[in-house]
Order: sequence, then structure tokens, then C-alpha cells
Amino acid sequence: MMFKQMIPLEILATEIIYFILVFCVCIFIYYKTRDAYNLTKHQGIFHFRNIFLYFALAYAFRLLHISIILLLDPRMFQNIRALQPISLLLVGYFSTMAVLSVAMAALIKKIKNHKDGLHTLNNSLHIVAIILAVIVALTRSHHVLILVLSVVFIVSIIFSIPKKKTKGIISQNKITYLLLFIFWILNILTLTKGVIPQELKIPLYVISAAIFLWIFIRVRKRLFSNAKKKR
Amino acid sequence: MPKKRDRLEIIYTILKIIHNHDNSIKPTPLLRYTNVSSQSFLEYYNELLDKELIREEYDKKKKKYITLTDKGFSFLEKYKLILGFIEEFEL
Repeated sequence: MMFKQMIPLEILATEIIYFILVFCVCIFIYYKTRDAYNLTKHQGIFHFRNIFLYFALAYAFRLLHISIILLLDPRMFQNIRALQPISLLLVGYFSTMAVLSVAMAALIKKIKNHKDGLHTLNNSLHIVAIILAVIVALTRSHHVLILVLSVVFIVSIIFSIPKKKTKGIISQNKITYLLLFIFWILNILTLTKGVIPQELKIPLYVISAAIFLWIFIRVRKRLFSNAKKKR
Repeated sequence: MPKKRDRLEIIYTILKIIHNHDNSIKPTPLLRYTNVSSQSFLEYYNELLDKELIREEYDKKKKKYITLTDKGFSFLEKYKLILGFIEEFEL
């Protein structure tokens, strides 16, 4: 038989529901900000939208990766070892692009004055993500992926620290980006057996989905509520 | 020192000027009201044409007028919302 004898259906069902929820919210955010971008071609909006496009794709391939691990029996399905690096490569690429887009959205105010370099920088993000994803796929390690994403995120934090001392606490946005990153890392950790206990996964997924939902509500409130009031 | 206007604000100003002139204005007065250098104005003007926010029209005497497109009107309507969105997410 190609499939494992004891398919953990509850686990798979949880993963599918979680994926559908996050995927839909991400695509809604991407779609709802389409007009704002098309009208302005604002680079900040471009990277903000990309965060959710790439997270949606990263979650899709994460589900594929989980399905391969859960459903296919390596004893019966000989090519499983070839499939896992491919799904890990795709998870690695899209999640690196999502984290790089988070970094770009956070840093765009600092770099958007350098108009000429911006196009090159946007293209180089893909090259960086491909290189890092290939490293992750070759090592076949979720921990390497976490390490790679952490380095990218820490570097972007260093660059986003203002040169002049500014008063006040960290902005709501920076906290949002930090939460997106932390929960994506926790999502990758769930791929490794035994790292996160099964009973903690559901609360983790609920909080993770709630973060996306919270961002969606903020986007909707900003771009659509006032327009309705005016009418 | 007054704050330097950003790109989006200048685009809004240009479109608003056209709108306030019954959606029809000649290039020279538009440049004057916009209050930017002629070189900058040309860049913004070409960008607005490329993005199809404005279009050029000619009268019977072959004089050029600038008008807003539907997309241009849509920009004016949504500008405040988009600005709020950019500020909210610090973009």
C-alpha cells in the first residue's frame, strides 16, 4: 500500500482547516490592496502585498510538505526522498520571500529615495531567496530553514534601527511583523516531530490565524470603512 | 522649513488642479499651479500619462488640454484612504 497504515486524519484535517483559513485571509489582503497599488504603484504597498502573497504560497507548500510526511509511506513509496526536498525548496523559497518582503515593507521609507537601485534590489530578493532555498533543500533540514530566516530577519531589524534616537515604544506595525515572523518559525518547528507537542499545535494555529485576521481587519478598516461611510 | 512634499502628494496636487479647473487645463498653467521645477513636472506628467491617470486632448485649434481619466478620478476619491493606509502600515 502506498499510504501509511495509520493515517493521522485529525492532524491532517487540522492542518487543512488551518491552511484554508490563513490562505484565504492572505489572498483577501492581497486582493483588497490591489486598487491602492494599481493607482499609486507605491513601493511600500507593493512589498506589503507581497508579504501576504508569499505567505499564502508558503502555507500552501507547507501543507503539501506535511501531506508528504504524513500520508506517504517511505517503505512503499520509494521516491518520497526525492519529493521532500522539492516541497522543502518551495517552502524555503516562498517563506524567505515573505520574510524579505516583511523586511522591505519595514525598510521601504529608508530606501525609496534611491529610485534607481530599487528595481535591482527587488530582483536581487528573488536571487537571495532561491540561493537560500536551495541550501535548505540540499540540507533537508527544517532547522537550517529556521536559521536562514532568522538571519534574514535579524539583518533587517539591524537596518531598521533608526540612526537618531527616537522617543516612544516600538510601533504596532513592527510588533505585527515580529509576530508574523515568530509564528511562521513556530509553524516550521511543527514540521519536525516532537518539537512542539500535539496539544499545543491547535492554540498555536489559532493565534497564528488570528494575527492574519487582525491585519486583514486593519486593512479593511483603512481602505473600505470610510468609503462606505461617505456613501 | 516647510516639509518637502512626497511623490504621492505631488501627484494628488496635479490631479486636484486639473479637477478644480473643470477637468480641462493647459500644460503651462498646470506647471505653474503645481509649483515644482519644470524638469520634475515633466517626470510626473509622463508618469501620470503612463499610469493612465490623465490624458491629452486637443481642441479645434489643435491646442493641447489635459484631462483626468476615470482612473484619475478614482485616485482622487481614494487618495485619503490610501494615505491613511500608508500611514497605518508605515509604508
